[in-house]
Amino acid sequence: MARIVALITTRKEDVAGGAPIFIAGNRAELEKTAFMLEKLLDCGAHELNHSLFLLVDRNTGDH
Amino acid sequence: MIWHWMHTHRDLTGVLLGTLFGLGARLILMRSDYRQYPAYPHGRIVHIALGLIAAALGSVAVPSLYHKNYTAITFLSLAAQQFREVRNMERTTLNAIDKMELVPRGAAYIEGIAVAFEGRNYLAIFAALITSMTSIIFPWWTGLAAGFLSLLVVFRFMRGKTIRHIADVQTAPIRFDGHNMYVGDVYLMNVGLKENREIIEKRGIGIVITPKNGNARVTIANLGQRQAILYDVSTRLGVYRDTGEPLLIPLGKLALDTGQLALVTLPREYDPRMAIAAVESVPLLEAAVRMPVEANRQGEGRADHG
Repeated sequence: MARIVALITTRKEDVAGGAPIFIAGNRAELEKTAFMLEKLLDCGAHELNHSLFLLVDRNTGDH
Repeated sequence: MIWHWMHTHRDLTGVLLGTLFGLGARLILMRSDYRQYPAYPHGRIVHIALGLIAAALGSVAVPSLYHKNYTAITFLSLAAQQFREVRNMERTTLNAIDKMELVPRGAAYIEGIAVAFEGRNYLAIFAALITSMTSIIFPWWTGLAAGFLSLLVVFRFMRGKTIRHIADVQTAPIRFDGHNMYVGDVYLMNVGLKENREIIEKRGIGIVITPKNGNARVTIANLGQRQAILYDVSTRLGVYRDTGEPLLIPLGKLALDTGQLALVTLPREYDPRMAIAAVESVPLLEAAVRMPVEANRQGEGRADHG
């Protein structure tokens, strides 16, 4: 099973919970942070909606 | 002179011919093909040596049995034991290597290769046995004929089925609907980053595999078979991928309603025709082949199952 490693959002009131949350000021910063984190964590960045990216770890589960 | 010697030393001639043809059979089965395995001299030497042993065991068993040394049959069981070890050896090696591959082979493919290596040694024994038996019982030169015949049989055995036999392979456009990636009409995954989407659009080749019948549908749905396809395509065309790029990955998903398999591949060489050829010549894995159509037909009107 895939695992959520981190969230990046521009609307911090929308998110809460166990994974680390990164707040971005605008869309450009959101994409940049997602890009950086994808390379750093080796986890795929997926866009859930316009203001929220998920970093998902598939290395441990089956893909 | 030599002919006379061969007539008088029939056992030895048989053993020699048998060993020769057995080893020949093993060598035929060891083309280093596009799967690039075994690719290195040492791997090859291991298999040639084992092939020689297999051939020698097969051919020596015949004269012993012929002279009523029936315990010689235990030789062959010893050989079987040896070659089960070969399977283990291959499995262990390939599993160890697989962790270091950008696109792994997957367990089913490894198991298939390991079994093939074991089986090839038995084919070498078979060729040796037939050759040596014929040349000991009949005039020695009939062994030559039997040897060539057994090589033909071995050659025939080597040809397993490939994807081409069970499905049609075509390219299909990769398109993005926002951040969702589709190949043809099949949804594959969500790609969040624009950079990745651009790379996939530019370098990716979308392929759709359409199964020809119900059996084929089950076979290509198998995850091991799917991974084998991705691995073979990546080996033949290279792969545009590195660590830290988790979404630049060759991927396959089923269209559940039609049973089609949609693939996205990221080859180093952009050549759609080659990609299709690569997919078509992927061997069908023994672990993936199912025959539900036949099974259901046989099962009709037969409630119990032994």
